[in-house]
Amino acid sequence: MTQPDSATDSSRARIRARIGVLLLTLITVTGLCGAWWWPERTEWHYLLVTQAIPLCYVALAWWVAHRRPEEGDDA
Amino acid sequence: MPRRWGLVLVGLMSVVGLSLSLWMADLMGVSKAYINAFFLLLSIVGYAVIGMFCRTTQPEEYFVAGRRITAPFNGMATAADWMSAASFIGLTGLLLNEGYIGDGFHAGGLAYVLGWTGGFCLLCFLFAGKLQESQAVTIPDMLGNLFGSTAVRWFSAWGAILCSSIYLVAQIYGIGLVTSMLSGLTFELGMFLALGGILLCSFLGGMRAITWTQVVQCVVIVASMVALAVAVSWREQGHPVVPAAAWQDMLRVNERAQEIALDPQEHATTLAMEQRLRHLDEKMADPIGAREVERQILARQLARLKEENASLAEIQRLESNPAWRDISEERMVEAWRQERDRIQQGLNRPVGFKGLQTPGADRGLFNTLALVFCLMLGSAALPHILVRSFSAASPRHAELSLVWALLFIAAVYLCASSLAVMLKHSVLTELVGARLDQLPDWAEQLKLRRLPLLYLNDWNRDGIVQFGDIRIANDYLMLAVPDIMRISPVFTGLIAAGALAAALSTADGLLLTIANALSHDLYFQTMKPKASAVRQVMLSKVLLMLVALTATWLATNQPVDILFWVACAFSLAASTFFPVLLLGLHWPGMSRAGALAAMVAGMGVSLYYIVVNYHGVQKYFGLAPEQTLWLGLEPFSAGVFGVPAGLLCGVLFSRLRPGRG
Repeated sequence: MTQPDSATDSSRARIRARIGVLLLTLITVTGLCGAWWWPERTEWHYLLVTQAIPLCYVALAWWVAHRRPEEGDDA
Repeated sequence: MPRRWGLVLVGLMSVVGLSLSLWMADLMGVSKAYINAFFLLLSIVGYAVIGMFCRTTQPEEYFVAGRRITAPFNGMATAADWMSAASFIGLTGLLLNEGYIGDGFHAGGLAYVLGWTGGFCLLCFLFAGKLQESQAVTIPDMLGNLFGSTAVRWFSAWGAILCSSIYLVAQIYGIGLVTSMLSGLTFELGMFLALGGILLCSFLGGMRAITWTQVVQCVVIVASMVALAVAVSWREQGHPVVPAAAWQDMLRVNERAQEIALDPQEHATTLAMEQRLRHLDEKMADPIGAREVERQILARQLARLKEENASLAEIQRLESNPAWRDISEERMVEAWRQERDRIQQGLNRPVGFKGLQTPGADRGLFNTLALVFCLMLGSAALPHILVRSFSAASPRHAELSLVWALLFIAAVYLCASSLAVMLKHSVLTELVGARLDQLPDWAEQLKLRRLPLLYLNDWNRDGIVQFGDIRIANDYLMLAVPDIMRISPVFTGLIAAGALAAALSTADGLLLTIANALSHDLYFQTMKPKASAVRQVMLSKVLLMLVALTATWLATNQPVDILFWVACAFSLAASTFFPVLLLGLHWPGMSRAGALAAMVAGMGVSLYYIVVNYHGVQKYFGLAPEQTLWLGLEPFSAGVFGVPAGLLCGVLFSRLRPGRG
């Protein structure tokens, strides 16, 4: 029972990591290109790019990392 | 576990208690210099004491802190390891001067904010868990074992040494500047004093001591930045909500920038700067003739000044002209070139945060995307950051520790970018438009510092400061925030303690990485595999001291452009390690030959691009930047070419010569 569960968990973790990389790229490129297309809106650059995107990164990293299988944990 | 959280609490309480007591000392009239020196000295002594308590000669403890650090503490140590002097004190000045999206050619500040944070996501998603599972001691050790190859171990060890050394020299230079600016000591003495603190931590206790020192340093870094941002927010808008205060200031900055753009005197300043640029171009085209003409003019001006009994300072200002001094033609042209670059930078600088380019894709956008790419991949491949995964208690802890690290780093960057907005507001409302003989008190102080942070040049000679007249130093502007915002000088000491913590923690991690690569990977694993554990640790300690002294000697010998060298280190790390780690950990077909080819090609291409675009090299070979820049990308974005080269060669050579060993 444990082995298939563990394999499924690992596979899910891998998929989540790949989705994470895609989302990271998407958020970053969208944020930067948005800033270039609307160069006048510096107040939004401040709020969305310098403040919100780093927080999105934290949330994204947590979303991927917190569901990692517990196998091998000894602490 | 509670005892470890107790350490964090003690660190935090110490910062708060010390700040309060020094605030009272400030109210009682104690000198600012004493307050700063006290903060600096106490920080160094505090870190050294932790280092001494954690001393060890056990290899597992010395190299990987016993592999039992849980996620929050490993995250704090990673954050401190990563937050260098350049990012902690440089980011605010960079955003303030360069704006968000650059000048249409160079990358703007947004690239640094996103690149330096996003890289941790990549590290978390792709490498952290697998690195911890490998149970290796260093990155070359992990790669050597993975591919069963001494050549891979050797090359990756040299790669780790190269990337970390470039980064280390920039950090030590930063430490010297912070200590000398705030303690009044000379640059060299300040650097050696701080070096003593670094060595006491890393020399005695290796990774174990560094980890616990970095936990406390992370508390100091985050607490000092947040406290400063809250205090400035309170001063500016009367509330402690930093993003809201910065947003309010940003709206005013935009209004003020529009007013400045319409000011005819600002236009006259721009014209005067452009005229000077043309004049410098003419002089550089015929330096000998220009020197003669300029000398005659200077001689007449000096004679008139002496007749009028002008001040010594005014006479010295004229005599400092490179054309007057008896220097070589080469040095004279170099001085003119530097002046030209400064003026050009001033012309390209945005008044608010908006760049000068037109909407849409342009060279600046490509340079920004390239820099983000290099900083992200570099953050995920810097050896001194990667080794933190080895000290985590499990793969899950290794990944979660990066979420913690990112949380602390994001907290610092959110505050740094908010501070840039609030500082810009002060510059545009208080300094621009002020009379040159009635400057705000902080402007006078910034001008008169031993390392001046503010330069004013009245280009249109109207006696009023225009935006174009102002030049603010990027680096270390952060240390002047309390003066500019007129908050208690205790914050100067606090932010200096934070800056010192950032520089020391990064330098500690880098030193250990270099020393371990030299001793563990280059010497013991390949030459003396049967050496005793105690001998291994002892040699690592000796090498650590030698590396520290060499880096300090290099930093004292010539000025370092910290941000440039740090960005180069990121590009080199991305090119050397990212392809081999990505393919080695996620593609079973990656072979030993592929690993070696990936590292050689990645590092080779990156190093070539940086070196060939270096000013000294270009001058020596008579090259022009247009001949050597590829796609117009800046040299520190060399990773854009190095990473694909590494990936391509990795795949190609793995197909040609399969076999992992």
